[in-house]
Parts: sequence; C-alpha cells; structure tokens
Amino acid sequence: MTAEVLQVHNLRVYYQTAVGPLKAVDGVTFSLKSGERFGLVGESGSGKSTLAFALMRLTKPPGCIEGGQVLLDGLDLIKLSESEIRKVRLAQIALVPQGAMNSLNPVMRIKDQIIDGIRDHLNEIPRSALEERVHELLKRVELKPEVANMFPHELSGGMKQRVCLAIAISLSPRVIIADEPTSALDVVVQRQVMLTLGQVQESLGASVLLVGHDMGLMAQFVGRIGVLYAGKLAEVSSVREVFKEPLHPYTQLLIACPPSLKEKGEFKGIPGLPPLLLNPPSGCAFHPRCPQAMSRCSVEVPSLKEVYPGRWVGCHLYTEVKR
Amino acid sequence: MTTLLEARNVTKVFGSGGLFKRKETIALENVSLFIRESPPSITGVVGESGSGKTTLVRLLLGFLALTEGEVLYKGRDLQKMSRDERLEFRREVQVIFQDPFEVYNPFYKVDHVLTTPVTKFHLASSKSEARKLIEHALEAIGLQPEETLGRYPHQLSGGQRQRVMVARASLLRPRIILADEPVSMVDASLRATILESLRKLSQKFGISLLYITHDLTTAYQISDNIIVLYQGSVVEVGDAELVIKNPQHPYTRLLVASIPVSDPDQSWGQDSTPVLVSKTSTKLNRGCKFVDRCPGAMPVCHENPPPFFQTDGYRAVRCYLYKEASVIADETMGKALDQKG
Repeated sequence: MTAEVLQVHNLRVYYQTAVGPLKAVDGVTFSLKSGERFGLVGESGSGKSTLAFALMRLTKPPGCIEGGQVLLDGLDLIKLSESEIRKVRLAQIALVPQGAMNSLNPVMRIKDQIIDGIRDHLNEIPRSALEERVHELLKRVELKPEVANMFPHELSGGMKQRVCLAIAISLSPRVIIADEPTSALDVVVQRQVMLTLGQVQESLGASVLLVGHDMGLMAQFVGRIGVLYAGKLAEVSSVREVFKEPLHPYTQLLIACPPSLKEKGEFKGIPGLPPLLLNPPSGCAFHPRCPQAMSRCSVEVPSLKEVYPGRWVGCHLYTEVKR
Repeated sequence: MTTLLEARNVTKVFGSGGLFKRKETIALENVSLFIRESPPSITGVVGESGSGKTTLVRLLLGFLALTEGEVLYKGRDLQKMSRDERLEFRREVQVIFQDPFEVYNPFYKVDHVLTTPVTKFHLASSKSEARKLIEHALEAIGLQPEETLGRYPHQLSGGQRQRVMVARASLLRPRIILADEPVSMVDASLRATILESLRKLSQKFGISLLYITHDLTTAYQISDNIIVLYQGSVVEVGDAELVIKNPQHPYTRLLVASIPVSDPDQSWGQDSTPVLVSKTSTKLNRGCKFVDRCPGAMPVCHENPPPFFQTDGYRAVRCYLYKEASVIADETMGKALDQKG
C-alpha cells in the first residue's frame, strides 16, 4: 500500500452571491496515492474546476474556502499563510491549466516564462544553470531546444500545452493538477500530449489529478476516478470497475452517454438539466433526473459510503459494506 | 438526381503580412463537394483545427470570396445570383455556428432571433400565427416554449441556447443546414440531445445537413458520408461506415487510432507518431501534404500531389498507397460517390 500524498477532507468552497452562498464544492473527501493517476469527472458547473483551484488555494473572491482540509504530505494547505502557500505552489503542487492558448504571456519568450517560476522559488541559481534547466525541461516534454527562444504565437496549440506542462514540472512537484489540459486540442495532439504527461509523471513519481468530462480520456489515462455531481462526489472507484459496473445512476448514464465507434445508435443524453446550485434540489441533488429515484431520495442527502471494498458511492440504493 | 449545393475545385488563399513581406496562407485547396437534393443526406466534414473546416462553411455561405473554383446552389453560381435568387438562397441554406454565447445580442430577449426571420421572410400574416410557428419550432426540438420565450440569453444554458439556434434554422424550412461545430462548446450529455434533434429535423422535414466537426465519433454516428480534411485538402471521402471502420488514408488512420476509447482494457492507439512540426502550409506544396508525418511515405509522395483513387464504390482516397485503383477527377469525386441511395 503506497502512502497517500494528498488527502482532501470535507472540503467546501462557496461563492458568495447576493441571494446567499452558492455551494460549488460541498463536502468533498478523497485522497491521492503516491504516483497515482486520479480522474475527476463531471458536467460543466459540477464544481470540478472550482475544486481543482481550491486544492492550490487559488480560489478568488467571490469564491471562498468555507472549510475542510487539504493535506499535502500531512501539511494542511488551507491553514497556510499567503506567503507559505506561495512556496508550496509549483514546488510541490502544480497546475496545468485548461486553456494553454491563454495561459502564456504573449510578449515573453518561452524560456523566460519557464525561468520565472523557478526563480521565484530558488533565486540564487545562476542564469547559465537556469538555461540548462530549461533545455532539460523542454526535452522532457518532447519539444526542441529552439522553442526556448520562441514566443507563444509561434507555437501550435499542442506545443503551447507542452510548454505549460514543462512549467508545471519545473520544480518536480509531488502532485500535478491537470484541468482539462487537452479540451482545446484535436484527438491526435490530445493523445500525444497525454502520453507525454504520463511519461513525465512516471519519471517524476508524481501523482496526477486529471479534471475533465471526457470519459474516453479517463478510461485511457487514469487508475481511479471520482464522479462529481452538483459539488458532491457521487462515486469513487477504480476506473476499470466503474466502466465494468457503474453503481451510481448518474455514473451509469454518464458512461452510456458518449457515442462509440462500434455501432451506430441513438444519441443518449442525460434527461433534464444540471441542478441550479443556488437553489439545489432537496435530498439527493440528482433525484429529479434519476431514473431510479425513491421517495427517500428527495428528503435525505445520501452520504458517500464504501459499498464494496474500495468502491465509494453516494446513493440510497446501496448499503455500506459489512466489515 | 439534382444537385442542391455543390463546390467545384474551391481554393481559398488568405494573404497576410505587410507590403514587402507578403505571406500567403492556403486555407483550402481544390476542394469539391456535392450534396444532392433528395433524399436528404448528412455529410460530416472532419479535420483538426486549422484544416480549413470553417473556411469551407464561410465559402459555401458566400461570406468569403473564392480565390478559385465555384460554389453552386441549385446549379446557380453564388457570386452571380440575382437579388431574388439570393434571398431564396439565404432562406433555404441555414447555418448554426459554433459558439452559442456569441450569436445572441445580450440586450434582446431570445425571441428576437426567432421573430426576425419570421418578419424578414414574411412567414406569418399575424402576430399570433408567428407565435404559433415559433412555438412549433421550439417543441420540435424538445424545448418548452413557455420556459424559453421571454427570456434573455444569459438566463438559458449553453445547450438551450444552441437548441434555440437549431429551432431558428428549422423555422425557415431550409433545404440544407450547415452546422459548424454545433456541439463543441457543450457537455457530452447535451451534445447527444442537440445532435439527436438535428437528426430528427433532417428526417422529419427532409433537410440535408453538413456537419462540421473535429470529433470523429459524433461524425460517424450522425453522418451518411464523411469528408476528411487535412491542411485544406480532402484526403479521404466516402461512406461513413467505410471511412471510420476501415480508414485507408494514413491521416484518417491516425485520427481513428487517436480517439480515446471508453474501455480501460483497450489500448490507446499504436505507438507514437511523429510530433507535428509544420502548421498550415505557406506555399503550394509540391507533394502530398501529409508526407512529413506519414509513416508510409514513398519518393513519389514528395514529388507530385496524389490524385483521388477510388478504392471502393463509395470511397476515394488521396494517397499513392492505392495507386492500383482507378483515378477520379476532383470535381466528379462527389458525384462518383453519390450513386447509392
């Protein structure tokens, strides 16, 4: 059993609005083992990006971390001061942002953007050593050394995303958070970038938290998966088990959703609309759209229970495993 | 068999740069396509970003001037249409754009985008008739009129907004809808709903569809025929089943192999293909455009651009690997493949 690098306990992130708090992340608990690839899926508005940002303490007003713990190697990131968290970011927990297109500074050379982050943490490194570091990082993400002297507009989308990846791994972090890193890229480039991310992660021995909504990508990349619905985890399991036998009704619909190349058929959407988080449904947030809803579901909020060893589900259809 | 919309050897070159450093970008080169009048068909156009998909739509709509070639609607050249013909074209050819956020004017209620075409094309003689027409169009694609009308764009979700655009397009009873990445900005579950409503529309009212996308899976699901674009050229065209199940052009093969499959036990494509170096070509390429990335490149591929080889009854591939098959001319390519149905 490998050690748990990142433990998230009952994390709550609310957005303050004029009509009351919007509970974007509402009591999320999960953990990341050392060297593990964990996927976080959910539809738009389910709180997945809010959660990813909160783990880095990058939540901006009106968003606010209301409570809970984020333990990175036992250190609670929520309790750190602003200057302390700055030392942790990038060095121990790094982010690969969603829109690589808009994440780089258009008037700065690639090498300077990579050096910028390293300098902030280790300011006494000589310039020549930094340049060498840049070359090594570019090589790691399979970019040519010439890229160092280029500007972002000279690079393709896939190359920009690789640069973002190089920045994220520049200080060998323990955890890499990748927030839909390939959603703006086409399938060919997506596969190449994800393969690179996988190789880099393995050579560093880091853990990856991949945020996204593409179930196909999750199936190919991660080992374990957490399904987020309306700010709560609906299911946490190994990816193989989820695809073999999804337990939560929402997961079942989510897996039935993407059309396959195997056969033509009707498109299956999930009926109904995602809940409004300002005024969420009573009880289980999924009950208005759930094909298996019972009377209990509209009253009682289901808690995340371990229904089989290693499989956690937040649904009244299942009972806790007997130990 | 009559043609509805046809592109013949269409080329579009964008000029850029200053007076002395003129740079030309070839967005589309010698593209032909053909959509017959009946029965209605769904044609998928797939390609990576920068392959010229959106340029193609804009040329077909007459929004951009062609560098070479011609676009014909019902046999008439788009550039030479009379006023009345143009009005008919604008009514019968509708478009759905990629971004359901940008097409709305935030100061108007969503009703505005629905009432404008009704007034403009005199579809109704009274207000109540117009209202009925709009309500029918919304119901046909699964939206509740009372929950949709009278609202502002920001009060609707992305999926709802995109479906209102589908309703707007269907309102005019067009012959053809050009859908430019209609679902790339919405979630997987909504994607399915929108595509299903497009398919129903096509079947119910006999509307042909040109579905532009970078997503091979949905293109396969919805289309009868598929056109694969690479750097402004058609590399493979044919029956959807053939193109996806048994891709022949090395680029199509790469595309199909790169799709992440929702099955953890199935491996993700073959081994690493060369990381792309070039972007859009800046000068007319002598050989095949895919040659730098092609695992099976031969000397001839560097010399001359490959013509179309008709490898099956309903499929043509622009690749020398199939030089045994008979060559077909670009402009007849669409017709040659269109014998069935």
